[in-house]
Amino acid sequence: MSPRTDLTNRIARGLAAHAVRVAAPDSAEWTKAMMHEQEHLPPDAAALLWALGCVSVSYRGRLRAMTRLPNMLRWVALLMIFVLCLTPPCWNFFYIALSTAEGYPLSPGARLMFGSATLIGPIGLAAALWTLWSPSHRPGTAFMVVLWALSAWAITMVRLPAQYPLLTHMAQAKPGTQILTLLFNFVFLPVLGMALLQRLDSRRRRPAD
Amino acid sequence: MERLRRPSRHTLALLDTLMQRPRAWHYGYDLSRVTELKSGTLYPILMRLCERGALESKWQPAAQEGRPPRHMYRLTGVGLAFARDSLAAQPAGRRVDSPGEYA
Repeated sequence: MSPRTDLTNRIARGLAAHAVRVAAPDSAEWTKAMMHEQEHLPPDAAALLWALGCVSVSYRGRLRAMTRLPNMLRWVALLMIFVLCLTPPCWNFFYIALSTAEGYPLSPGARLMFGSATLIGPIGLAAALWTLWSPSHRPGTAFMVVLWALSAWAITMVRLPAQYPLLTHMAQAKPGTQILTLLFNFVFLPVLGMALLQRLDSRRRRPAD
Repeated sequence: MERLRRPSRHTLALLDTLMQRPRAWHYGYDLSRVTELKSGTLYPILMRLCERGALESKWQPAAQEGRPPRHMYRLTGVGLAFARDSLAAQPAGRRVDSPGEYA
C-alpha cells in the first residue's frame, strides 16, 4: 500500500470512527454498519467518499434527534445547567481563587475550604460540556459520586455557623442578610445542576432513548 | 411501522436494483456501486425502508478473519409488493435511475 493510500485509508477510518461517536442512539447501529462496510471497500478515494457519507448520515441523524421535542427539553435542561446552575459556583470559585488580587484576602485555610466547596462549579461545567459535546463519553458513576460529594461539602461549609462572617465578607454584606443568597448559589443551584445532569445521563442509558 | 409513501427517484433506483434479485441478501457497498448512490444518500433510504418494514437487515460475520461483520439487506414481503407497485406505477418511458446491474 502506497503512503498516499495509507493516509487516505487512515483519514477514512478516522472519519468513520468520528461518525460512530457522534451518531444519535437510534441511528448508531446504522452508522456502525456503514463503518464496517467501509472495511470491505478498496482502500482508496472510494473509502474516503464512503466515510464522508457516513459522517453526513451521522450528523443529520444527530440533528434530527436534537430537534425532536423531548430532545429540545434536554437542550433546555442543559442550558439551565450551564447558565443558571453551574455558572454561579464557577464564578465563586474564580472569585475565591483570585480573592487576593481582588483586594479581599482570605486566609490560606479559608481559601482551601471555600475553593474546594466551589470546585463543583468548574468541574460540573466541564462534565456538562463533556456530556454535551461527546454523548458517547458520558460522566461515569465515579465522576457523579465526586460531584455529589462536593455538593455535600458545599452544604457543610455553608451550614457551619463559624463560616458566616467569611461567607458574608465574600458577598460584601452583613452577617445573616445574604445567607439565603449564599445557600442558593453554593448549594441549591449546583445540586439542581447535578440532578439535571444525572437525570439526562440516566435517560441516555436507557436503550429506548 | 411507518406508512409507505410515494418513493423518490433514488428510492426507485434502489428498489429496482433490489428487484433484480428479490429474495437475495445485499451488501450496502454492492447496492451503492450498482445504483451509483453515494453512501450518504443510500443509507438514509435503507434506514427508512427498514423502519417501514419494506426491508429486513441482518449482520453477517465476515468471510475473512479479522474483518468486521457486514450488514445485509433484503426485501420483505411488504417490500416486494411495494417495489412492484412503485416500479409499475412509473409512467411509461420514465427511466428509473438505476444505471447498473448485478454481474
